[in-house]
Amino acid sequence: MQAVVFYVGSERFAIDTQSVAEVIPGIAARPVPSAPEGLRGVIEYRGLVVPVLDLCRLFGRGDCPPRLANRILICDLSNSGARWGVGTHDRPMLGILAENVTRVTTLDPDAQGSHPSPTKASGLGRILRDKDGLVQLVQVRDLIPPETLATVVRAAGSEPV
Amino acid sequence: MNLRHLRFRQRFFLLGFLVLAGFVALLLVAGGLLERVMVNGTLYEEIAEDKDLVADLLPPPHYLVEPFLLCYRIAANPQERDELLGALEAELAAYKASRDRWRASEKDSALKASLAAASEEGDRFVAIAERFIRSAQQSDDAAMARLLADELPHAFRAHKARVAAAITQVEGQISAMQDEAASAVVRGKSLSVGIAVSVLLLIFALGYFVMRPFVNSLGTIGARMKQLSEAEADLTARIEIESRDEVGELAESFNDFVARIAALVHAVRRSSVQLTSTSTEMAATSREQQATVANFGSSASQIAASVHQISATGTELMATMDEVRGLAAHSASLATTGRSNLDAMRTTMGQLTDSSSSISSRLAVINTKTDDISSVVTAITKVADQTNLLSVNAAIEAEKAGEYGRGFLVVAQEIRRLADQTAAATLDIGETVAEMETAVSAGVMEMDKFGDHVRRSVRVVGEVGTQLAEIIEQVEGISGRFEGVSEGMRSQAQGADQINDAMRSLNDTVQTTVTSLREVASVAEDLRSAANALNQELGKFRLEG
Repeated sequence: MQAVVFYVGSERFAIDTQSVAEVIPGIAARPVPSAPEGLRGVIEYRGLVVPVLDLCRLFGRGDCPPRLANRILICDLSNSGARWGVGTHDRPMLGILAENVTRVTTLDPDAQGSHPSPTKASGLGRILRDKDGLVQLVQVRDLIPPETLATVVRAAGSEPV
Repeated sequence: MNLRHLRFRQRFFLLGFLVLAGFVALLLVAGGLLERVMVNGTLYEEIAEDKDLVADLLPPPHYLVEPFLLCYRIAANPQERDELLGALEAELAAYKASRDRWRASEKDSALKASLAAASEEGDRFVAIAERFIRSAQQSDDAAMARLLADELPHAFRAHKARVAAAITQVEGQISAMQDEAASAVVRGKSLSVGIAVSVLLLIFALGYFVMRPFVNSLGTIGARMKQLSEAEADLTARIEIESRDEVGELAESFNDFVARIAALVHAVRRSSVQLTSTSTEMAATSREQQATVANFGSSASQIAASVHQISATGTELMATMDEVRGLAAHSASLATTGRSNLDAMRTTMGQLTDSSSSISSRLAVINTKTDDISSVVTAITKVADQTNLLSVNAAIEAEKAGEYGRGFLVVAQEIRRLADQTAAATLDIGETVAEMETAVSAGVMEMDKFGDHVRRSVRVVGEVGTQLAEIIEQVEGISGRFEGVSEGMRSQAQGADQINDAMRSLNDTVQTTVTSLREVASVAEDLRSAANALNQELGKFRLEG
C-alpha cells in the first residue's frame, strides 16, 4: 500500500493514500469560535468549506509551527476511493494540517506491527517499517470522536458554497 | 573865558598875536609917515642938489634967451642966415613942446596961473620971432632991424619978468611944503613912540599873566622834588594844582609817578622782608642738608657693598639658569621627536580607518549579494516544494489509478527524488549562505568595532600630539623665558656694576655737595645781611600817614 508520510515533531506518521484526496499547501485556516480541541479552522477547497485539524494539537504538541513543508491533506471521509479532486456533500472532507509532508512511501500492509496506542479512538494505528525507518499509521476517521467529527463536518457544511 | 584855564601854547599864541598886531600897527604908522615925508628925506636932498646944479647950468626952457640971441646973430651974420634960421625954428618948436607939456602936467592952480601968464608973454615973443624969421627969409633987413630994436627985446623982457615971478611963487610954495613935511615927521615920530611904548606895556602885562601860573606851578613842583630828594623821602605828599594846562598835566603825571614809586617801594620792602626770611631759611636748610648729605654718603657705601653681593649672587644664578635651559632644550627636542612619530602614527591610523571603511562597504555589498542569493534560494526552495507537492499528489493519483498508475508512480517518485535533491542542495546553499551572512555580519560588526577603535585611537593620538605640542611650546617658551632671565641676570650684573660705579661717583658728588652747601650757607648769610641793609634803606621812605 502507498501512504503519505508526514511528521509531528520528530516522529513519522503516515496516512493511506486511499483516504487522501489531495495534498495542498498549508494555507492559513480561518479560525472558528468555540471550536473543539484540535480544530484549527476552516478553509475553502474547490468550492467546499473544509474543516482543518491540527495534528500537533491533537497529539498534545501545541500549535503546529509554521513551516514551508506544512501541508494540508484533504481526506475523503467516505473513503470511497473516488476520483481526484471531486467533493460533494455526499463525500464529507476533512483537512489535516501536518508537518513535512513530502513523500509517499510504500508500506506492506500485511507485515506484523505493534499497536502501541491504548485506544482506537486516538486514530493511531500500527507502526510499520519502510526503507527510512518506523512510521505509524493514522486512521483519519478515528482521530476525533465520531460525534465531534460529525458536528465539525456538519458545522463546516462540507457543501458547495 | 578864564585865562588860567588856557593852555600855555594858546597863551603863547595869544601873546605872539598881540606882538604881531603891535608891530603891524607900528609899521602902518611909520609907512604913512614915510609916504608923507618921502620928498623931503636925505636922499631927496641929494637928488635936489644935483637937479639944482643942472638947473643952474642949463637955461630953463621957459627962458627964451637962445632964440633972442639967435635973432641977433641972424641979423649980424647974413652969410650964415639960413643955418641960423633953422636953429631958431628948432628952438621955437622946443619951446612950444615944453610949454604944452607943462600946461598939461601942472596941478597947482596958482602956479598954473602965473605960468600961463608967462606963457602968454612967451607966445607973443614967439609970434614976433616968427615975423622976424619971415623978414629974414625975405631979407628985409629994415624990418629985421626994427623988430630987433624994439619988439623983440620988449617981449623978451616981459616974458622974463613973468617967469621970474613964477619962479618966486614956486620957491615960496616949496618952502611951505618943507615946513609941513617937517611937522608931519615930528607928529609921526611921537605917534610911533607912543604905539611902541603901549605895545611893550601890553606885552609885559600879558607875559606876566602867561608866565606867572607857570612859574608858580614850577615852583611848587620844584619844592616837591626837593622834598622828595631830601633825607626823609615823603612819598605820601601830592602836588595840588588846579589848572588844566601842561603844568597841571605834568603835576598829575608827577603824582602818578610818585604813587607808582610808593607802590614799588612798598613791594620792594615786602620782598626784602621776604628775602630776609628766605635767606635765613636757606641758611638753615643748607646746614640741615649738609648733615643729610653726610649721612647719605655712609648709606651709599653700604649700598655699594650690598650691590656687590647682589652681583655675585646673580652670577651664580645665571650659571644655574644656563643648566636648566640646557635641560629644557633637551626635553623640547625629545618632545619634538615624539610628536613627529605620533604624526606618522596618526597618518597610518588614518589609512587604517580608510581601509576599514572600504572593507565595511565591501562587506555591505557582499551582504546585499547574499540577500540576493537567499531570495534565489528561497525561490528554488519554493519550486522544489511545489515539485514535491506535485509528486506526492501524483503518487496519490497513481495509487488510485491502480495497475495503470504503476509507471506513473515511478515517475512521480523520480520527480519527488529530484525535488528532494534540489531541496537538499538548496538547503545546503541556504545554510552556506546563512553562514556566509552570519560571517559577513560578524565581519561588518568587527570592522565597525575596529573602525571605532581606530578612530578613538586617532583621537587619542591627536590629543597626545596636541599635548606634546603644548609641552614643546611651553618648553620653548620656558627656554625663551630662560634666555630672557639670563639676559636680565646679565644686565642685572652689569647694572650692579654700574650702580657700584654710580655709588662711587655719588660719594664724590656728596663730598662736592657738602662743600657747595657750605658755600651756599655763607652766601645765604651774605644775602640775609644784604636784605637787612636793603630793609634799612627802604625804611627811609615814608609810605603812610
